[in-house]
Amino acid sequence: MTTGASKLRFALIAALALALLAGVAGWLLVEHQGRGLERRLPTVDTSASEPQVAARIEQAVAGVRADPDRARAWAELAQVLHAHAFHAAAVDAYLEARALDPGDYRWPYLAALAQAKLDLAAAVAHFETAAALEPANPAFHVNFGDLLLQLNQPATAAERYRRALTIDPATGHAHYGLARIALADDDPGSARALLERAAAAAPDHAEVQALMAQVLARGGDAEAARRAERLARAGGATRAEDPVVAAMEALAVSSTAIARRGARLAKAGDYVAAERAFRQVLEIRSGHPRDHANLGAALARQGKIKAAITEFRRGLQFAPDDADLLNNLGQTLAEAGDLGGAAELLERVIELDETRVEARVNLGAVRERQGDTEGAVGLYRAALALDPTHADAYTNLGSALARSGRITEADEIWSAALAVDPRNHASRYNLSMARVGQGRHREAIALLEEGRRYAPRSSRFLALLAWELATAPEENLRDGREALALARVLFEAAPQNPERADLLAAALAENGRFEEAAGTAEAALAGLDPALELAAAIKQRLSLYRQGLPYRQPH
Amino acid sequence: MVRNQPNRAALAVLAGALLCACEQPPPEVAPAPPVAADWLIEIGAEAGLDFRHDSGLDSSFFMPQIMGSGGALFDYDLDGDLDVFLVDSGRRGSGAPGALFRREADGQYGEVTARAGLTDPGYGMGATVGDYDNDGDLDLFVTRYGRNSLYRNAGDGSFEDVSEAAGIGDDAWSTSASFFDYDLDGFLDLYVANYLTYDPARSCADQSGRTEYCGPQAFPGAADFLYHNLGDGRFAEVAREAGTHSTAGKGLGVVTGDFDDDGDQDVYVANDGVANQLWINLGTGRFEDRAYAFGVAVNGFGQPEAGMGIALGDADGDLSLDLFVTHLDRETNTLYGGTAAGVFQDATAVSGLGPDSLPWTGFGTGFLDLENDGDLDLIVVNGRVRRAAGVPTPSDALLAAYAEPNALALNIGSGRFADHCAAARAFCGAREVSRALMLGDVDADGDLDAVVTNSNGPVRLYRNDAPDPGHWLVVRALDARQRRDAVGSRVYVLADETWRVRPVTHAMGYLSATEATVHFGLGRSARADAIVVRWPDGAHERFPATAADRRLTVTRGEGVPASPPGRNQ
Repeated sequence: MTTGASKLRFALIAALALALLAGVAGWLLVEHQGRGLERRLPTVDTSASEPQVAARIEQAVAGVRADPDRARAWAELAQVLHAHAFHAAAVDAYLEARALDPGDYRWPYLAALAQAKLDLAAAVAHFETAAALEPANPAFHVNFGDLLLQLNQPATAAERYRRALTIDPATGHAHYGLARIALADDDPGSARALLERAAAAAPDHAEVQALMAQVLARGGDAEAARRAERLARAGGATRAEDPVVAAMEALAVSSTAIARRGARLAKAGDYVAAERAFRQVLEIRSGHPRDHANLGAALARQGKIKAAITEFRRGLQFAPDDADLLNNLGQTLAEAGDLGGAAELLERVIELDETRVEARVNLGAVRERQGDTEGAVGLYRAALALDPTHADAYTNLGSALARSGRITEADEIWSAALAVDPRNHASRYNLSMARVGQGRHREAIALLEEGRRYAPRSSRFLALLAWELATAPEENLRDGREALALARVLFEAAPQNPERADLLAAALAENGRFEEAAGTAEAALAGLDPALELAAAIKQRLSLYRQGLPYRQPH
Repeated sequence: MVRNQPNRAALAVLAGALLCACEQPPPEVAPAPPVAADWLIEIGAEAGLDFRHDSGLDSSFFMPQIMGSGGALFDYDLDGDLDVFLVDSGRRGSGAPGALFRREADGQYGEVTARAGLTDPGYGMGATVGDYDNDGDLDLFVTRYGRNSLYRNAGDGSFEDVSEAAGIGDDAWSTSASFFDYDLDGFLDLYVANYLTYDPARSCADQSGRTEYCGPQAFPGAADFLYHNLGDGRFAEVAREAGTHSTAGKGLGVVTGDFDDDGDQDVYVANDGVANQLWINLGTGRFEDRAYAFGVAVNGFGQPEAGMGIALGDADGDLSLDLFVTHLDRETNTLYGGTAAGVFQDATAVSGLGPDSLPWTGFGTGFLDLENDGDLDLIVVNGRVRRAAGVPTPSDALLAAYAEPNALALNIGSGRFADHCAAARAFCGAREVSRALMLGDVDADGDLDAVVTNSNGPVRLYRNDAPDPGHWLVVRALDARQRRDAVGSRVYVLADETWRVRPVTHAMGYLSATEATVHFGLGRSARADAIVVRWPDGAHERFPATAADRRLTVTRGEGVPASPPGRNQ
């Protein structure tokens, strides 16, 4: 009994001791893990940053603390840091994400991009880790190739560019990278061929034209080199957006980053989203005239003229002599019909900075509307003297001349505009229309086909081209099938537009589908004021379709 | 019963042995190589160069405050040694005069600003020199955030502000400038780079939302000035007529030279954040920007970069001049290598100059043959214009947040370079907000020394103490008709069966200028076997062989007509 009791007591004490030991061990483990986590969490000084940036980083840190074994939490922290240019800290966090989720190429890829801001050679290892996962993102391979090229490893860079092209043969920048390598190998012929492929894939890429100018100058083709130089100067998108990088950048909340995002959105034509972004910027900071200018421009582009004018005026309160704001306000007042007010502001801009070409062009447009065509022509010519590549100055000058009956001069100006920059779409359209009017349909079609290369989605070019292919008087110029394909796409995009219906009807008739043509023309007429010129023209064509005849433009 | 006890004595011995092992002296290793002597020794204060730049630094993030200032290293009093003019900035609105230091016979500098009449204040940026009136001494042009000034050297140790009479005191944010004779009429014209149409009311923030100095993208660029020297002491601003007004860059660095080898002088401008310009002289009084066609507008990736300073020299010894442009951090500096095809090609990767420059913001730069071995090495002085992520807001340590070490790269042959900071710890280790670099043989010992300006910091004079330097030759190309340096010439020297070329120019790097003599390292060769000068109009003249280790003047018309030197084998 005594032996049993003491055994029991011993067992109890032992159990207690074990429990205590386990508790201590557990506490130590948790404590150790906690301290380990704190050590792993990157530290950044956000004391001088905007409060929402500090809060966003803190939120991402809290996400990691809540679930330190979740790759997504680390990845989010890494991306938030990266988006705010805390590159070194971002690399550390990406590596944590990568350790927890070794199958996702994005984390070592983004780590490579962040690292490349600090140390090019050190970024290679991250790229290689990501490359082992065979990413199907051409931008990844292009960026890796670019890094290798910077590190003077052209052979391995070329492999990366080729890999990008196997994923997407239209990766313009991969052709560009290969062209650089060819040029460094003193093979300008191959470089030129590759650049032509790059230009075909992405006609707006300034960098392609920059290198093309060099290649052409080397080859002694001075005029073509000059043309490439002008295209390079005119700028344009440099490379296709990388979805992985875009997702990271979208996490940025600093006013600078949001303003940049707004500018990108505006450039891409998404003025609604741009407006949202610029309003967000104004919630964060005040007193920046450029922010009001940006918001005003986004509003004006949406036709919110009154609100735009208010924003420009707000901006001018901070910077009364800001030429950009004055110019924008002037242009917007003109749109609102206040031609006197607009002219006054635009004259002020020119007074402040005589090199402001846009102000002269805008003032020219105002003068035209005020009936002063000669004044307008003078202003456009002055603008071109300052900047012989200014697209709007050419277009407007040509139009002003045409409107005053000086067709030959207008023709010359639009042709000159295209020689300077074949992407001057407005001048090309005007010149095409002039050619149509002159009955020079072959030239019109050639102009439009070339324009389609530079602006494949321009409905104006496509509509005029489809019209010519359906209705040109010369049989060998018509192409009913192509005309119908184009007309159908255009009609489906805007079925209520009577001009599109008229076009579709003409294309159907050219393909011998008279009944459908008549039905389409009738539908177009149904919603149209009979007094309009277009209504009369459609009615005339409808009678042809009813007789089983297509419409042909007169010789 | 005897129990087996651990043998305490044995344990003690073992412990002692372990302790002994720990305390044993390290095994013998080969002696460390002797520490290399520092190649660049800072002697500014010791030499009496007592100047501290003041930008009027406050917490307003007034953009000119971060751009620093430059100066000129030139012999203003024709006593045969290099004097130093240093530009100062001062407070917004009032500004500060620069400082002129005269080098005395004992090698000490003494300030002579007042005596020289250079007390005119203004928010100074840079300086350049040139003998615009062909009277045999160097005149001084000072660029400012505000009105620029031309000071005529009176030849008696003083300068006269002739800006108004000369019609040259335009108001802008001017930066670097270069005297050159673009119309070959014998009188030096002047190209002045302008930076931005700056609006101090606009404030900026960085990517993390910290208030920071604005970048160039916040403002429109400003078209540059081109002044035509009318030959009677007056200049006419002809940028519009000449076509250089047609595109407004954001110019920070300028060099002039005959880039298309057609016998007249062209202009290269390093622009900040937008494409660089190469104004090719059409020979008709007009210029055309051909930077894209010549491959020097953007880097090899087609991207415009933050161009600051420019070095012009033959980095790879192929007798074509190369252009090296310094840039912002997160961009590499770029070497545009001249090619036999007459255009340039981005040679940054091949040169090895790219990766090491990525973390730093480079400003002043220059090629120099540091150890006189015959090839050109490279110096870059650095200092940020935006703080690194995570560096706190302005405080006492504001400047420290922008300070960076300098860089020195040694030419290791065929246009490739390697970091050589281990041999220049004083120079590379000095973390300052460095801006301008001026190179010249200050102590007349046959190698090039360096003067470095620092934003809100002291000027530094680095004496070149490279060990075992080779032989050398300094050549002055003189146009006797104009009684001045033949700015725009190229001097070729043949030694050891190798031709070397150096451009004759005053303007260098960023915001600065130096004497127009050219320095050649000749390595083991104790003589130069031939000298050929390509004069600014493209004519070549050959001069006889000469012994090394001397300063030589070659005068136009005293040699024999020659053809251009052939390429090195």
